[in-house]
Amino acid sequence: MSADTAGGNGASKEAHRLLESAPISVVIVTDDGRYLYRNPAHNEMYGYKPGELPRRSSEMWVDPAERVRLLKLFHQTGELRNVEVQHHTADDRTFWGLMTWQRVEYNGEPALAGWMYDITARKEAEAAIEEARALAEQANQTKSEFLANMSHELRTPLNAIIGYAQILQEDAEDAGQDVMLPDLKKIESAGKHLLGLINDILDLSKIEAGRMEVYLEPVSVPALVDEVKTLTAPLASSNGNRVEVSIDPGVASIQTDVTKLKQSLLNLVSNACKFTKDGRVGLDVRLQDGAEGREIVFEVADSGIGMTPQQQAKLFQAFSQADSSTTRKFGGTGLGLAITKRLCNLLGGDVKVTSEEGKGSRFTITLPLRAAEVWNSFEGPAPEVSGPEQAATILLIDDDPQVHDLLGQMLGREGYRVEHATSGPDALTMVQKVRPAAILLDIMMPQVDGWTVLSALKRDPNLAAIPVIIVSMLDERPLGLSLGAAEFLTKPIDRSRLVETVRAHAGPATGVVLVVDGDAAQAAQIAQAIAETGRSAEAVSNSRAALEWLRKHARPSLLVLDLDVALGEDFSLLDALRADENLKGVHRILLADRELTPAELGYLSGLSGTLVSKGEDVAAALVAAMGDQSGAAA
Amino acid sequence: MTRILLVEDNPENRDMLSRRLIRRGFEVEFAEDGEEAVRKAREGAPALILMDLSLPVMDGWEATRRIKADAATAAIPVIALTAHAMSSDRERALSAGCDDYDTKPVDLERLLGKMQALLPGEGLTQ
Repeated sequence: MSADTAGGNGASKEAHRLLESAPISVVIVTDDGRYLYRNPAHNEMYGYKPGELPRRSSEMWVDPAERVRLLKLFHQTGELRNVEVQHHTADDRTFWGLMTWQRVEYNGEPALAGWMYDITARKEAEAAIEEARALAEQANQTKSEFLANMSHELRTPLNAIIGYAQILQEDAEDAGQDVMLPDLKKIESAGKHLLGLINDILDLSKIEAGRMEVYLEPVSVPALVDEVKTLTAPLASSNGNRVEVSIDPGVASIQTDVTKLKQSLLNLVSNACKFTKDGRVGLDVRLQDGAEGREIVFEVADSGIGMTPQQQAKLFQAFSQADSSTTRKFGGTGLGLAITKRLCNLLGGDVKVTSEEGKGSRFTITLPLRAAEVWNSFEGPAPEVSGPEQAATILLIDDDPQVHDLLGQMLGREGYRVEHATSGPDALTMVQKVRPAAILLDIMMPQVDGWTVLSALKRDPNLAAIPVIIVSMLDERPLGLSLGAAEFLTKPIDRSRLVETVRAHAGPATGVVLVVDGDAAQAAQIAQAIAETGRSAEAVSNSRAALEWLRKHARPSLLVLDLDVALGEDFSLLDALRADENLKGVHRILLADRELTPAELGYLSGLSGTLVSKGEDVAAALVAAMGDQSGAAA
Repeated sequence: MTRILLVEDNPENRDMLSRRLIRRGFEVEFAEDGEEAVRKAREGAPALILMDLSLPVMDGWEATRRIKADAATAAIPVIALTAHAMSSDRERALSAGCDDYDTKPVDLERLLGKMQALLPGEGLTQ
């Protein structure tokens, strides 16, 4: 280590010893990369043999493109702090280092100090976890798709088996060949049983894959209960049961998914009829106050065979009818209750059971009165976003799911991407994240109303420019406009008026192309050429203006960047863009008027984008490249 | 005799359902894809259309939309039939203009009930 060690002028021997025995790599280098000091941990990490002392710093040990990126970052911010970098060692290993570089003074001269931990073990563990996660996700996806396809493939031939069995029965009856009927009946009922199994497995796999969608709509409870009673009547009478329905007078309409609630009730009532002989099956509906507001309760009680506590314990698990002889004796797939439980959970409620062997069972479904209120508290079913990735985004704020459905469809049909928020506080979080081209805002919402949301939006200098279109039952247009709304529409919504208003304030659904070129005239010319293809475009002539534009506007559908502005001499616009979550998925087209250096190519290779040479006719080349890109995106 | 247009691309399904409908006294005409359905709806003026949704050339949703958009055929009731027993299909079928919806395999009594509800006055001939 001789003269160029940290033990030199002024530094204490203790400090030097601490550096020499430190478990992390410490180096001090000159601006042009000559070593002034390296501690033993550094030599060990890089795999230098004793006595082997390269004169330059680690440049040869880091990927050139990565090195360009790091140097840029260093020059931009004056330091590197906790950057994870992969290194190649002198003895042909690779390791990951967590690196910090700062400017220091060393022996009175300006220098650079670098510290580094070896984090290879952590990186390897992370990579293994990521790989396992990706594999698991892929396997799950494959499974769901397989089941969905398979069930369709299985159902088609089953359809024919069941159908022809029925036709043959009818033929046999007509021809007076009644002797064939029992066997034909068996083919039909075995076919139907198999079909039931396939449907149940498909339902279950869809729920578990999070692909079961929930459609909320007003549902008349008396009508629904009546339908359930009618549908289960044949099964009830075949076992000599009477079904008694009672509905509390206060029960009218609820907001829920009618198909899923009906399926759940049918499961419970037909189970009750199946496991009860010459008895009573009761279906009682009432309202009650729950921990989180009013609830509706559907109670299905029977005087049937009942269950032991052990049987009850695994009742809601898939494939676990009380015992396998049950399936033989009573039929069914053993999946009905597992599905019922999951469906009730999906609707924000639950199903519970009490039972006594020999006396009967009582199943209770409890649902929140307005499923919409729990809509946001679980993942999956809420339509969070729809529409193509590149399209202009409209944020829809309304507490009524039907409005989301309706307006979402109207705007989706026009090619807009629609994001949904069902409450004021949600909306304010989402608007920061999605930066929509326009907001559709309802006024009458519980807790935080639309006026409050509107004034919060207009108070925030970063959000104030987003046009807000109020969609309300009440016509309070003057108040709305005075508070900063761009337009005021009254419900019921007229489709063409809505589309026209959104287009006027949010621009076309294809979104805006942002052109950044150091040459302002050229930027304007390119924007003009893009505009001639029917897309709207805006031009700016430097990085700062580009960032300013992006801060104030909705996310663009495409970025067209001049290479020199994009890479920047002392500021990389690309790096800044890469850090912006909101720009994820936005395609970049880079315009180059020179050959790229290998380092630049390496740097760019990690980015998704298209490189176009500035030739004779920039605009035409660009429009052609854009066509490729939009074709690929479609 | 009540004439029904059965739109179905699968020959077995077509055969089964038509035989059973004929047995119940209907006259059955066929279309094998959406385009043919739109044409035959206009030419044959059936009393009711049974429409499979996954069809070649033009799917059942689009065919229904066209039938309902044409003043000459808009009044013909359309019952969608599909193997995909998913509520989203039901929504899509109804929003395309179908008057009712049933799932395959067909439960004939249930389907006849739905047909009867939509057929004007004359009801079933049986």
